[in-house]
Amino acid sequence: MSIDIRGLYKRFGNFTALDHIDLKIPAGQLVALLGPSGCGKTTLLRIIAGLETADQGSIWFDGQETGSRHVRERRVGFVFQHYALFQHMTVFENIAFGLRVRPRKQRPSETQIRAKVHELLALIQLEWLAERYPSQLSGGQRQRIALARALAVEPQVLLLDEPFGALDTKVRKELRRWLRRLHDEIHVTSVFVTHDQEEALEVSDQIVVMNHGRIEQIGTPEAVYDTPATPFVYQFLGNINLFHGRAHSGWVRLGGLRVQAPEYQDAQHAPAMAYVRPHDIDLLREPEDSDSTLPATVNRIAILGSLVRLELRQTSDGEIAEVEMTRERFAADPLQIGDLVFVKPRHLRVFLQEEAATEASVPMHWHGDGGGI
Amino acid sequence: MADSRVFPEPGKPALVQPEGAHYFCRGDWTLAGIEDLDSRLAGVNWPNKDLQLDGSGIGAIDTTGALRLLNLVAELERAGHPVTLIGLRPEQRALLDLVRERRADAGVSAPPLTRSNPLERLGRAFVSHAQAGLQFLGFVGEAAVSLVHALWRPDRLRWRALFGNIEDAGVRALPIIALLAFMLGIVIAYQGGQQLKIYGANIFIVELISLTMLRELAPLITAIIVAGRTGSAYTAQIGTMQITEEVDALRTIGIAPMDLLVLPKLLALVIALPLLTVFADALSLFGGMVMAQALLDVSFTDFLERVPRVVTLTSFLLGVGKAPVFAAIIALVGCYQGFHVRGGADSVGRQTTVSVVQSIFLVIAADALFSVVLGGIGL
Repeated sequence: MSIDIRGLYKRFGNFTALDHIDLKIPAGQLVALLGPSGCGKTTLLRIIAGLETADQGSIWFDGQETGSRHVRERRVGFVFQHYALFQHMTVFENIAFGLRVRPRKQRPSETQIRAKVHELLALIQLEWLAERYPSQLSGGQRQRIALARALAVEPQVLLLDEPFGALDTKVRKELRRWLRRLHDEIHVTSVFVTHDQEEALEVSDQIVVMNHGRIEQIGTPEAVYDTPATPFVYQFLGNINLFHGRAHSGWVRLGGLRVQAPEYQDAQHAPAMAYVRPHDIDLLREPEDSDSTLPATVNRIAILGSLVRLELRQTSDGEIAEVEMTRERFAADPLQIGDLVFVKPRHLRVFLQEEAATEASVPMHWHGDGGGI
Repeated sequence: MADSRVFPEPGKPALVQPEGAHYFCRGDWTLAGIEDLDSRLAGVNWPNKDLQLDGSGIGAIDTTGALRLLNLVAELERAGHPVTLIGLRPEQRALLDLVRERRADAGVSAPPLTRSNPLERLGRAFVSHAQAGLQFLGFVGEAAVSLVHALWRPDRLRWRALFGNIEDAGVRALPIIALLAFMLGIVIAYQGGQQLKIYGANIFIVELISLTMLRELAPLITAIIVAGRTGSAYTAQIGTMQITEEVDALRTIGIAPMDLLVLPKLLALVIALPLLTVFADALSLFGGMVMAQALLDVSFTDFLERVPRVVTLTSFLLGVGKAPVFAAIIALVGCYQGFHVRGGADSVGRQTTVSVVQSIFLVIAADALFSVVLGGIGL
């Protein structure tokens, strides 16, 4: 079942939670709504579920407007961050509840309900817990039960609100892989909200990045990570190094670095910012030529399992840059704290300052002594 | 030299001097140094192209000076001169960065703290109470609609929840209500008896006990106990479900919380409270009877024989008849406050308190209304 969201707008008092959201979610996909807290992603999810009403705009399920439809007729399954299991019911009763409370005519027989519940318990691999109470279960188990409960009513749309937010890292990782496998089995259109970019990148078919009640970018995990549409997306997905500089006639100067930026052919001395991911930086022992590397000293070295993270201090202005490399590469040429290296970004992305002008009200740029533009 | 900290010695005045392509900032960019900066800047001819502002000549700089420098750059940029700041020492640059970062925060100034006058406060309080009252009325209306639906289609009613609630609110309340009603009977009999004894009107203890108890005190004390015992439990239960998102979970599964959570409670209390009132009637009469025999030598036989003669059916029914109204008040306030729980666990406690206070207040207010109205029509 596809979901089509048109011009959704929602305010809470003076706070605009959703600012005219348009979004199409194709049938059978697992879509992540990703953004910082307060960006409106949960509100959007709750409006899709019918738990909140929008001030403007509409939501269409398979071409049918849902506004007039009651929550119970929308056939959505909703999984809450804190599980929201019914505490006074056993696991079995929790899952069966949605079926048992149906009006008599639509209600399946008791044997059918039993069969359905056991089928779902098998699906979530927790059959032996049927007679336990939620308080006797671990967080991961509870969340799986909550998912089974949501699936019991055979929803057309599955909505998950930070489903792994309350779990510890290890369980979270297991569970999100499991969710992906589950989705590959049942193929129900699913939307899940998260503020964890790793989770979104790993699990989803499509990522919708949101900020301040607006959609910043929609795309596959690769597309969103590799070609972020806005500075915000760049910053939110993964670590970045930020260089300030100026764009002029297709070139960008960042301190001592000069790079080509054909997309800003028309820019005249426009303040610009360049984003570089820590793993997109090469470190050289010798300068290549004056325009393509920046000198820096190694400030700190942290070994994080398979990765090594280096903190560099740029010689020109003292700004800190972060570089990540594999253990092998580090072992091939081990650096020491205090070593002079030359930073060469392999891949960087330039944005003009006005795109981020709201954050820095005085556009300006620092660079080393002497070097003009 | 504390003085020098309070009154900094005037430094060299801050100024900007063009020298070739560079514009050098000189002097002390401090609070004292930038005092007449504006007049000195007025004389500077800015070129109509990029300009380099060289800070290497700055002597001292403080946050005021840093802010002025940032503003100068902003003014120039706005006037169409792209500015590059060069030659600053790292610590000066750090200060400028800090000021630039913090300026955005400081720009959002807190709303001025104005002391509202009493009239304004009164008005606001009235409006917020009126709104709360309207919301409550809305809730009552919603409950009434689903009640009508449920009575129309009794098979849709949650019978198990209903009987469970009757057991909780009714059967389990019997011991405490028995004890309190009995003691209340004793107290009234004792206090009244003292007076009656003076006049030798001992036998009128029966009128005193039976009328006050059956008409007023038994329904009231029962309602107050139930408000404290059951109304608060309703708020706490629904409030907790609200926090754990169970209420939302019910909605997504397709159950109206009104049907599952409110109606069974409302109906259960409307059924249980009159029964509890009758029970309290009996126990308080018994308490009074015990006291009458001990203090006033009115035997059980005399007492029981006289009760039917002084208590009309109307009096008894009026007392019991108030109970369903009290029950509805307690259940609706309890549930309404439960749904109003927002945020965390502290909110459950707060709303529970509010729920008990409001329901007891409304019960007594309703009782007073009953007295006035019934007195008016001569019952």
